[in-house]
Amino acid sequence: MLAAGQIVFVAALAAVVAGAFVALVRIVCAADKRLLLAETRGMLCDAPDGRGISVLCSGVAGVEEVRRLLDEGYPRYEAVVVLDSVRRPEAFAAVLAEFHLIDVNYDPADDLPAEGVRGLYRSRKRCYRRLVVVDKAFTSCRADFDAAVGVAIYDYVLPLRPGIRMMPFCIGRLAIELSLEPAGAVELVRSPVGEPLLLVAREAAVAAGGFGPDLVRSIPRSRRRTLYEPFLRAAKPSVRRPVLRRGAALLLAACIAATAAAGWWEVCAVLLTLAVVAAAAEYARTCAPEERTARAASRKSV
Amino acid sequence: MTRIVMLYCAFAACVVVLLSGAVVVRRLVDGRRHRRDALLSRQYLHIVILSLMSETDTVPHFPRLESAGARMVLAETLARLVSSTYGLDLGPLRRIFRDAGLQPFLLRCARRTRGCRRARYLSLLSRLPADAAVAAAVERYGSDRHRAVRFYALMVRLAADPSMALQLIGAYPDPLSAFELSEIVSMLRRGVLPVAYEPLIESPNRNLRSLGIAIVRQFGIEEAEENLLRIASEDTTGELGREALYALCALRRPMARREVVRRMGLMSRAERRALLRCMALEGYSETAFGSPVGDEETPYFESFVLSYKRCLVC
Amino acid sequence: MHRILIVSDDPFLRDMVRFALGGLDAEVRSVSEACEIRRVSRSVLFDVVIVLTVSPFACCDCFDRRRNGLRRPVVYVVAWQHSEQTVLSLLENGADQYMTFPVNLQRLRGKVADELNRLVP
Repeated sequence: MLAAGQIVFVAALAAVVAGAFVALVRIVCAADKRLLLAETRGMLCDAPDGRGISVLCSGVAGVEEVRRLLDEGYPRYEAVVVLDSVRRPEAFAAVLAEFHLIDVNYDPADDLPAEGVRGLYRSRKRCYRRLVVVDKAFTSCRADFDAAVGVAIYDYVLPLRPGIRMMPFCIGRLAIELSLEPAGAVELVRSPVGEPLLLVAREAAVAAGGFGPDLVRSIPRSRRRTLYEPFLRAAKPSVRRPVLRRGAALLLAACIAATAAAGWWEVCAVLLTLAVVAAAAEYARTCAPEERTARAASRKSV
Repeated sequence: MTRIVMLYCAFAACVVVLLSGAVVVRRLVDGRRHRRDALLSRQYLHIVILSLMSETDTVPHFPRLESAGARMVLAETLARLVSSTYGLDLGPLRRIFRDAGLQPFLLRCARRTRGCRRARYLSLLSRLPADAAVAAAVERYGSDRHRAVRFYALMVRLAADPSMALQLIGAYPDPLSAFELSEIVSMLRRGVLPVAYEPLIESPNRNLRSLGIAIVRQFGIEEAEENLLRIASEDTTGELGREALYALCALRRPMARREVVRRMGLMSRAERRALLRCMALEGYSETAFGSPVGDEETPYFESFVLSYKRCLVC
Repeated sequence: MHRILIVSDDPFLRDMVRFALGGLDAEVRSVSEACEIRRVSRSVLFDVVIVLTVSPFACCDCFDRRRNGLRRPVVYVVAWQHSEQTVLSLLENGADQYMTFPVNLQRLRGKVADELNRLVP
């Protein structure tokens, strides 16, 4: 029994290691695919019909963040920003003034009930036609997203939580992924790498009653796609994270050495499995240096 | 039985050491290589553009071309230059391509790799001024397991022999996706493919028809309206009929036509609403559309149209 | 000597246009972000500004109308988008010329040379 128990124990740990390697292979393949698609330009010229993406934003900080949202090369894209004019009157007024917004008729589609919406704003300037602002009393991010879906014009919606930013080439890459398959074949695209991404077909979100916990489960598996690339990141990444990672790695190494010296092999095996997963994650991080490379590449030269 | 656990620990420790070593090596190599490649790319780009502007027949010298990765940098630089421009004098580019041995180099790289990496080498080849022999060399990738490899093998053959474009696209085994169509049209924009829309849109071949519709939409060819209406009425449930409707919408043609109404009636609710949203985005008014899809969808359409307006008088 | 500014977050495109304009009687500078335009424009008066794919609206806003009697630079925008709305937006926002990628480098060079010849040095 003891022997069988140990075999099961080792098999379980080996399965974790195998899982880590499978994820690593997927991330490496995804990096190759991203490199291939990053060189394509056909989608930027005039995107094909139907693969538009509406980004739904809750908790936008101010004008600069909205400007960053609009700084997107993909043509079939809009940013639906939900702001509370009562809670944050200065930010709201600043956005209205900067982007020349006026209140327009608000008659929400019968898709999702939206409470607390005071008004809808669009820009008088053609260059800001991709911006839509919804003035809504804030209750929760989910309620903001549900209200934004009602005015979103494109077939796919990407909710962005407060403090989350899109990485370069995010929308373009997602649009390409959607365009690789027939229209309507994909209803959900997600990525566990970086900040979690959830791109949903508008109709699927409506059918599921909004962005609730049942959203993913309500979409058939055959219509879900999982990508292993980073698309989103935190607006203010912690500068201490690399230091914490190194510290954790040293601590782990010390614990492994100590448990091996003490002869506690089972504990040592668990720690070594953790170390394999951490090393695989670190290697995967080297495969996606896009942001670092982009930053390095766009060094100004005057 | 502790031995099993000890053996596992030894194995896991080796894996950790190997992975950690790989991380360190990769970080060092990648960092230096990125810096070197950026400098080389800039140098090579300068040499190529000077060569193009100077209109001489001599092939320029590219420094450090024999070093590891330099040929790849030259291939990427040339490919990027070609895809961002049109009207370049292909003579100097062909000479550079031939003298640097880029064609056998890229074919060798494609042979040694799989999947998206192979597709990337083929993608580079498709943008470079390769000779007709490359078409024969990539023909075997036409039956590769990976869809991107099959597609970029087609692109290489299109670039090598544009006169065979219709036959090659017609014989392509997979239905062209929207992304693939946009790539072919971008080749058209560079002046590589001499195709007209009429034979495409009238063709019985699905891929050629799709390409014809994409060309009509992207170049705003309003004269193709009757062709699009015919496709919409003939292809009652498939992708082509749907594409034809979206093309009509992009051209801002009247949508209250019998063929359009009939085709919309055969769509699912989600598809119909998607098309209505597209029409609202393109600027169709609620009155110009009429109410061919019934009372259920009209308020939905109007809610979007009215959100682009503002009532001044209550 | 005339002055040309190239604005692009893509170093390849910056260099490509910069090298294509080589030999013109002009000093060519480049920046990568729209926010740097104001900084550079404070000390240098540019004759031609070429914007490549960076959010062009942010850049065009930087070139206000005539300030203190100074001439506003001619703004060229070269981008991948072909849609009518984009072109009209750029022209409304102050772009003087809009060209699409793929671009003919000889043609771009010729247009910029003509523009510089028209300007009083």
